[in-house]
Amino acid sequence: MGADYLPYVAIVLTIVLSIGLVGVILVVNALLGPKDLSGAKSESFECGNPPADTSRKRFSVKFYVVAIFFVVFDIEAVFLFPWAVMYRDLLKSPVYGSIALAEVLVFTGVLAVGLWYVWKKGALDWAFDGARSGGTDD
Amino acid sequence: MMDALTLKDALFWAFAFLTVGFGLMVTFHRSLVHAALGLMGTLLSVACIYGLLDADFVAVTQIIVYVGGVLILFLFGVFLTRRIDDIEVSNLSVNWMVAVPAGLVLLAVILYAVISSPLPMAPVDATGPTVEGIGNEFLSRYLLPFEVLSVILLAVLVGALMMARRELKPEERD
Repeated sequence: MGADYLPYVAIVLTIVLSIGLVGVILVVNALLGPKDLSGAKSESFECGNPPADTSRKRFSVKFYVVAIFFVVFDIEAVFLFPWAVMYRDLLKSPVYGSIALAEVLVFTGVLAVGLWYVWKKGALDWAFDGARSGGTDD
Repeated sequence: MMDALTLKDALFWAFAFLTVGFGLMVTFHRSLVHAALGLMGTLLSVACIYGLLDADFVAVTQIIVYVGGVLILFLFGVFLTRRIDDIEVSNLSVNWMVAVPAGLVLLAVILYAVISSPLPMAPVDATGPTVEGIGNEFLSRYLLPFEVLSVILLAVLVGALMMARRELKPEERD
């Protein structure tokens, strides 16, 4: 075991501890908790309201669109990490610092245009009243 | 030295078996939701293998993008399927006649690529964090791919909006 494994030891410890904690809570709950599954207790819990419908329904495609947007900006964030790590070093030279800033501004600028576009098209409006979507085409 | 080597080998084999096992779960589990959970196991095991290979940035990216993002897409895809209400047999493994030959062809291509390309056997002295090196390359040699990537992501944004547009129309949403 070299010293280069040390960060991974911390990660593995975190994972083992969190899984162990959840396991302990579940086991203790199963051993000590009173079990009286009857009537209203076995219904699914919806913040105190009685369940309106089955939960196994097809979802609106809005969720999927938002998930795609999330993945896109997730990838953007991943690509910003290497730049961010380098940027402090590059700032020591004014030339390289401004070049690096310009490069990343182009990168995020293109995506900001995309965000502006989908925003303007109303894809982020959850209620979707159609007022901002234009609603003229197709 | 020998000790570390065998530990690394043992970890590699453990994660390799986990990857294949979860992959089998993805293929054969009768419920699509459980298959998606198996996919999470596969992706996490692959991330661990990346970590074993000292590719820390790739490992973290695998977790952030694939486990955190793409898997969510898969789950939403499951929620959008027509057969979601019968949860027992939602994984319809059909079309064996097409799937088996296609899989065999893919396997042959991968095996050919593995066998025909020489593996670099020299030890690589790239231990430690790789993020600085990647950032350096992005800002200098691979600047154009870096910027083109933002255009590709832009295309994904617009394309997703366009494809879902008919469903996003205001009428008759419950």
